Amino acid sequence: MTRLADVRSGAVVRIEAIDPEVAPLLRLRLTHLGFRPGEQVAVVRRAPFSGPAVYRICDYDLCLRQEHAAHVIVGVEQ
Amino acid sequence: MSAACHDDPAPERGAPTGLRRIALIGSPNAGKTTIFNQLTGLRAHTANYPGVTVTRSEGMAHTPAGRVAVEDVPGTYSLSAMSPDEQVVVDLLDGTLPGCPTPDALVVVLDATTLRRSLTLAAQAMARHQPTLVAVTMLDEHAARGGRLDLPALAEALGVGVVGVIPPSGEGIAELRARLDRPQDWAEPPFPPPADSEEQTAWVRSVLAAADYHAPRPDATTRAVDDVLLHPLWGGVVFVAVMFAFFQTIFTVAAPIQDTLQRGLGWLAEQVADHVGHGFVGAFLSEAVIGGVGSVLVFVPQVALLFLLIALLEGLGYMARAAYLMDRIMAATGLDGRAFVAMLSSFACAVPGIMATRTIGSSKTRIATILAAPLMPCSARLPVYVLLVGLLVPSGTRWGPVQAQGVAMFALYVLGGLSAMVSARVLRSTVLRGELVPFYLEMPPYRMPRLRSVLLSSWSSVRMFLRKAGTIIFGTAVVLWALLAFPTRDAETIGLDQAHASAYVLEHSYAAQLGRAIEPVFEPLGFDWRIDLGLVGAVSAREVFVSTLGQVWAATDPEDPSAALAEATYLDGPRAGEPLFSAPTVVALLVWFVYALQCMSTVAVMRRETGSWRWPALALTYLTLIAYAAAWLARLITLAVTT
Repeated sequence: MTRLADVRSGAVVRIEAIDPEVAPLLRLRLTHLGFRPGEQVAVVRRAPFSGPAVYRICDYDLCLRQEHAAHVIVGVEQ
Repeated sequence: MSAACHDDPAPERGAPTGLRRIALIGSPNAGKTTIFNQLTGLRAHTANYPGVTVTRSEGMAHTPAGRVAVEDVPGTYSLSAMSPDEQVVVDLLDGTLPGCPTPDALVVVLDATTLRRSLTLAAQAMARHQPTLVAVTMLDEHAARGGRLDLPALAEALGVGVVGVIPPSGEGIAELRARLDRPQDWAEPPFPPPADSEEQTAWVRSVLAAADYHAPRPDATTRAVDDVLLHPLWGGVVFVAVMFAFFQTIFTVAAPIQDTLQRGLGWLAEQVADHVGHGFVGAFLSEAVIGGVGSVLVFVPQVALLFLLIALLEGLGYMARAAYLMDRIMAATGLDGRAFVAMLSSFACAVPGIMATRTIGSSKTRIATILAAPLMPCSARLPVYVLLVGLLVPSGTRWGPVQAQGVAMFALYVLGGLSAMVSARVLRSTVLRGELVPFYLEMPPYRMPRLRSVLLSSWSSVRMFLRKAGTIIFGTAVVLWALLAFPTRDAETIGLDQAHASAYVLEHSYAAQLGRAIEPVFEPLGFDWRIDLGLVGAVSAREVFVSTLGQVWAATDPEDPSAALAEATYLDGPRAGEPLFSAPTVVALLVWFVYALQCMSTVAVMRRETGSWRWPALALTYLTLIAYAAAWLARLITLAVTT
């Protein structure tokens, strides 16, 4: 099982699920931000020292911290 | 709408009861505020929602048939709340906010380039079964980047009205305005979107397919610029350069304007002295009114420039990048990248800094930022530091190639900045621990902001600064002046020359009695009643300390008050005759000013932004205690080192 936080910069992956362990409200928020199962997400760049990363999802760029990107379960690199 | 909904009582500026109320909903960066400004012009009214830290913006739109009240709902990606601040948006739409009736209709603003995401917001809005209209923005940018969208087909697929709006040209605004009149005629969707979030995904896909939607290419220019500006190394270099230019502009461009203002005020005071005389009215006008209002006015160029630059950087899209770059460092303090902007503004003044925290999504992070902001070395401390460092280190002292005074100033700034970081960390791991709201930030494409939007957003902040700071500082200036000038002692000073007369009045004034009353409190720090008086004056604003000491020692030696200051000795008590401004005392004073929350404008803006007296009370308490303890410790250390 791969988590979005572990995907290398430059890779494109498909979202499989949001971690079911995550609090329902946080799950819903991630969904509303575009992290929906089936959507493609590209890791645009990562800040050094485990800082946040910029993801391209639903045709826009979003900056998200590692701890929250870890809630997104993704498939293998395409 | 009723006045109960407002934080400050200004019912005449809110919408009169009985008007139709429209709520504008949209994600941040969707162009919602631009549409709001175009609909309402400059007639917007801002206040806080009751009890929370969310700014409410409301205005009137003139429509063909009359007027409607338009409410600019805070930008959001979701209508399900994760924090009390977000709950306000839900309560507002539900009509459960005290004094705020349910809006009659919703206008959902969607950015064409991010429709795949933002249609979810439209689905949530439409699920509320209120008359809903969709306004699509950024159509020009969408087309330019190779995107496609059939608006009539989108309207058909959604089942509600759709208006394309291009704010820069004003296209679509007239149509939107006309439709605002008759929300009862707006189409009801025959098949409302599903409430379940998984089904919503399928619904969004089908709507996009029906509207012949083709996503735009990523903005190539933005990507290329970001490759440099967000580069692990070059991004940092550019960031430091931008910050350097930022402060250079604020301090160098504002300085001559400030000097001119200061000269103008000096001239005005002379005119008063010449034409009104030195009597009671003249003294009141020149010292309390011109001196008091002037102490605020001279900061206005700096604050205005600060707001202008922040609005410009925000509009360009650089602030989001700065937040991305700073997030790792800010995370170490328990805050996030957004808090950085507030901390940056606090270098100039904590009031705009605290106002800038409005962009922070999490209310606990926001309050922690607000409580730490007064520790940032603001520009009001500068005149105090300059005066005291001048007493501590003789000018021209050098340690090798570096100027000693500069080192002392730099150390004070570092101490303030580090203390702000540490206190944020402590607050976030104690009283303000945890929070569900994640830190996320959209990186919008770089866009050239519209001059009008930049000016409007900075003007509303400047106006707030003037109103709040102006009234409070002016008030304390008047009170302080009265304490220094009364009782008048006309009988006792007959036959004395003016200098001796004013010295006599001062030493027997209410202010002197006050200073002597609190002398025992500050005695361990080495302060005498005259310094205490300076501290009392500085409760309203730090820079008042300088002018109070000036007034006190001008009474001793009107020709050269600063020389009198340097030679001052304790007047009485066990230390009588010893130099007053010795190194331990000056160091203790400096450390006191690093920590103490001596700024009523900050306290007032804290109350305003947090919606309760609890947080300013906490800030006053913890900062005063730390200031006292740290000043005492600094005095002991300096005593040990110098003797």
